[in-house]
Amino acid sequence: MTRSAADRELWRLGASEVAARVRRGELSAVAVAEACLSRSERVEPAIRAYVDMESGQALERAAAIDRRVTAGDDPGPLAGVPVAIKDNLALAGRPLTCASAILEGYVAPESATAVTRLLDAGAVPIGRANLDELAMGSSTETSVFGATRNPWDPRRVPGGSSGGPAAAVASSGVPLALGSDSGGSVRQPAAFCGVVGLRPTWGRVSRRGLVAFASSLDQVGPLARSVRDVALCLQVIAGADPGDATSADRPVERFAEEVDRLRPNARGLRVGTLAELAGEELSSAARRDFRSALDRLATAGAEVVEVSVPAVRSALAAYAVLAAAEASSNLARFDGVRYGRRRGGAEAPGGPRSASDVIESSRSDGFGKEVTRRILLGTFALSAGYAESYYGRAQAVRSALGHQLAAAFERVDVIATPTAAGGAFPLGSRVDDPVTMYRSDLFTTPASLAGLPAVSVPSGLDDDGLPLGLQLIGPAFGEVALLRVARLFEGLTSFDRRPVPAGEVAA
Amino acid sequence: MPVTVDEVRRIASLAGLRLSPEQERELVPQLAEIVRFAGEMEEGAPLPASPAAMGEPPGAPGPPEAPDGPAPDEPVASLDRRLVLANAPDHRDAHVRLPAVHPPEEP
Repeated sequence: MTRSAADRELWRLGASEVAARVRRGELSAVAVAEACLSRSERVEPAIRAYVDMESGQALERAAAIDRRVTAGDDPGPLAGVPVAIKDNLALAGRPLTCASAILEGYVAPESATAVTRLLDAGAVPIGRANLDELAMGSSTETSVFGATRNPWDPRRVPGGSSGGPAAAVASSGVPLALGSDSGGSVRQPAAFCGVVGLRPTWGRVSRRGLVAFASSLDQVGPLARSVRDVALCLQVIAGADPGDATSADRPVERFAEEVDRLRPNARGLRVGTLAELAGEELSSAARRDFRSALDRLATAGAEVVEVSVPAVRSALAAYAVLAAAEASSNLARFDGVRYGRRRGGAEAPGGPRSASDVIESSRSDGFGKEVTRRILLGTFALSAGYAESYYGRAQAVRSALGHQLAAAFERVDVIATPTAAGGAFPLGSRVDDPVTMYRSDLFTTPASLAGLPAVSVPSGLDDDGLPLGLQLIGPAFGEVALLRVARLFEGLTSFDRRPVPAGEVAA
Repeated sequence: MPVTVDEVRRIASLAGLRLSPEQERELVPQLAEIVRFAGEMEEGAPLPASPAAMGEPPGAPGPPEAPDGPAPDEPVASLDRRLVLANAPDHRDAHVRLPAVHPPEEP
């Protein structure tokens, strides 16, 4: 292969390899950025993973990385790694939309802590990735910019709400992306797009600069094409932050090096399955795939143990209530007064009525259908007469779930579930059926409610050739052991995570 | 709970939202279904013993308590005012400017 042909293929490389070669001076960060930008521009018309590309800034930043390497500096553990950033994470001086009209015209005054840590580690943002409006959704169809498509089949959703980041990684526009996960928003799109997605323990990564949806659930998490790359990103973004009082002041392990110490086999590993999610919710292909995944772990020496966590039966409904309640409170800040879209006032048809008229007009005009539904549900669940039977009961479910899962982790090292009940569903098939859409998160909400780390790893393909994922859940702050099991499973799975050639994603 | 148009209007008003008649028609059955779904929490799930339980944190260990108690109440730098004002829909001098909510004065 000629040098130029090799350069054109640089978009195929994973984050760990890019960083290692750039740091050694063997690879130019500019060449990698150009290859990824070119690849992204080629697939973008079919995939629509991005809200906006950052080509000029990306090339400038990559050139600065190359200059530092030439000068003998080490630009950091993500030197020259192109990244996509979900557009609910602030990047200073750039628009921050959350894929919502309500943030029209808003420019982030500072970068999110997780983004700053990526930049300080030498990463090169090449675009702001699409999402469901304000991160509320499971399909990336509620974005004001339009739907993102699944790179495996552009007639299908990429999952959500981090559908843009997942599609960008799966189509090899970038080796690494940053998303956020409240009820499964990193893990479910990772599964639908055939990539690895990690939700770290609540508190592990600062949420400063992440636009709040449900604060007791929101967490920033990476997506990549390998467990190793996800571990490397976590190593960079984890750790206490004075700017987020809920970030945990705990030591940050060397996650990437830890997963390199691969378990030779699964002997001694105890893998739990949930008795209460036995599989009737799964498509036949997903059920077959899950059994096969457990068989692979068992053949490698793991002991598969069924554990009972009765509260998981109520987790999805409890999540819906709590997430909506917190959203209704968090989103009260969008009032058209200090920033974002403003409607009403003296210039409005029919003339002005009151200040609350301006606020109501701005909010009603700025929020889309799903966000409106969730604000209404959350307001209802917190309102007098209903708070105890909805919000209170949901908190009780959450508390019981946390205790039951903690007891389960006395018996097992990880809990395995399918990440989703099946492969990616067709565009438009659930967007007007909110409850069916909410049920997409059946398997991912328990870890969210309990604040536990969980990772989705590609496990196989369904009958339509679409990716399926295995979810592994660990105890709080147990990411090292969790990621090592994920790496082991990755090695046991002959999953073809080839980048999809652009020609195959023609709409 | 029966979800009626009046109930949805009441909740919308609490939420600072105004719904068009078309939105109301669409939202009433959808919210009824969502509320039914939200009620799928099992009867066996215990009700909170006290109002305090309603504020219970996540079951998993959250961030540990600071060993020395709450952090000292110290002033820290806030966002630069120019950056804040640059995002305002309208501003004048050092202030966010709100639209007039009174009719223009008669000439």
